[in-house]
Amino acid sequence: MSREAFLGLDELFDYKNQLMEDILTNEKIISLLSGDAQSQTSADSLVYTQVFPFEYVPDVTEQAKTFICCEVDIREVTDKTFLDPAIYIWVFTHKSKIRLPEGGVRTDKLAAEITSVINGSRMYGLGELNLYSVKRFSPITDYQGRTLTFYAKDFNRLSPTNKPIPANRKRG
Amino acid sequence: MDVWDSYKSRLDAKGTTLRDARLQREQRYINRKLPSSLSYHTVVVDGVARQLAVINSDNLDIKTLCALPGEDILNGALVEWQDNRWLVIGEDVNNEIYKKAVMQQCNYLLRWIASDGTIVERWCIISDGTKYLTGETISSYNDNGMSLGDTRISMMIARDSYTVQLNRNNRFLIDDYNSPTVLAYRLTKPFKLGGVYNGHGVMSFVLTEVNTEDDDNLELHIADYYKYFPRSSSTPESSEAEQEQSLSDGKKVWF
Repeated sequence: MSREAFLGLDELFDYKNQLMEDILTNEKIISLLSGDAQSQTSADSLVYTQVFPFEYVPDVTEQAKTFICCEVDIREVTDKTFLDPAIYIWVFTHKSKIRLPEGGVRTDKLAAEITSVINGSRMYGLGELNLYSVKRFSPITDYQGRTLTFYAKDFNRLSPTNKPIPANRKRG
Repeated sequence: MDVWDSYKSRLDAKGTTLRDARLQREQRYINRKLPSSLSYHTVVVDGVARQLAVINSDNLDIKTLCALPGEDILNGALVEWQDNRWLVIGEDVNNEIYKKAVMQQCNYLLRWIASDGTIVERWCIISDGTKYLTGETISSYNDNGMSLGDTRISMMIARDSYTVQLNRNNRFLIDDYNSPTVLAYRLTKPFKLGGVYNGHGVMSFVLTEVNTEDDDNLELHIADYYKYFPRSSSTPESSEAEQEQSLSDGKKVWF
């Protein structure tokens, strides 16, 4: 990894990219995102239509669907060396799709599948990604779901940074 | 009949009182003159061809109907005229001389599935209920969250044995039949008494936009169609083996 990577906030992209890959390469999750009556939807077509790398569904929703949104926060910068990112995943669906044909609740099953894929993963920062909380979530009328929160650990920046020193700075 | 009775019946032929005489004279006049009026047309009322006077108004989609004396026009009747369907939305019950009614042009053929599984079709009048609103609602959870369509429309439909059963559980697909996307609406205000008298008339409902669902038939514009008529390539259901396995675990699937 380049030196610059340890100075910026590449976690924002890297984590979301890894998360999208984890979600969209899982057949069970793709199946749960697809409509019960529809044929299997291709993973690529779900990006920015049902799976969003931000906390937002941009278009006015006219058809009952299932959505997954994700966002990355830096929860806390503990010191010059480490920071604590948090990954939030919102899973929600229209009330008509809550009940699965084989029994169970769609959002529960999606939350379980996502958690089983990424909980403990070593692909997010240092060490393992840890599930922090799972809470109810109702973004709008007729839609219900869950919010998953995961905590990670990552590098803040390298020290020394090798940034240029101002010319007027006294040097010892 | 003696001579006196014959004389009396001849006198009564034009009315026993002065009022009766005037009433009959007026009715005779209408019977004689109305058929030659340019407003006199052949229309189909509830499937039966009839001759009525159709009188224009300033509202081009609203016409007044006048029948010949002794004929009736029922409130809520469907009129077919000039390749259009019209709904009788009001009648004058004072029909001593002739019957007068008001009809409004229908703009949508509503389709739904009744509780007995019958596909019902009825012409109705759909109008915008939120002319100056945006038609979108924003999430209360987060200003930057998702948004849903929030169109509200009103629907006038004739009362009959099927439409009187409509209630808040009913969803409809209402949009142009050539539109690539179809909007769904739920009946949110099933007020049935406004324009119904003696079991006849029109009901005015308010509908609110909701999402289309997997069971909707977007081509036929029938909501919940596949709940009654499952797709031939059926939805993926768990196999018997899977069901047995879930039960053999000792835990029953309750929901």
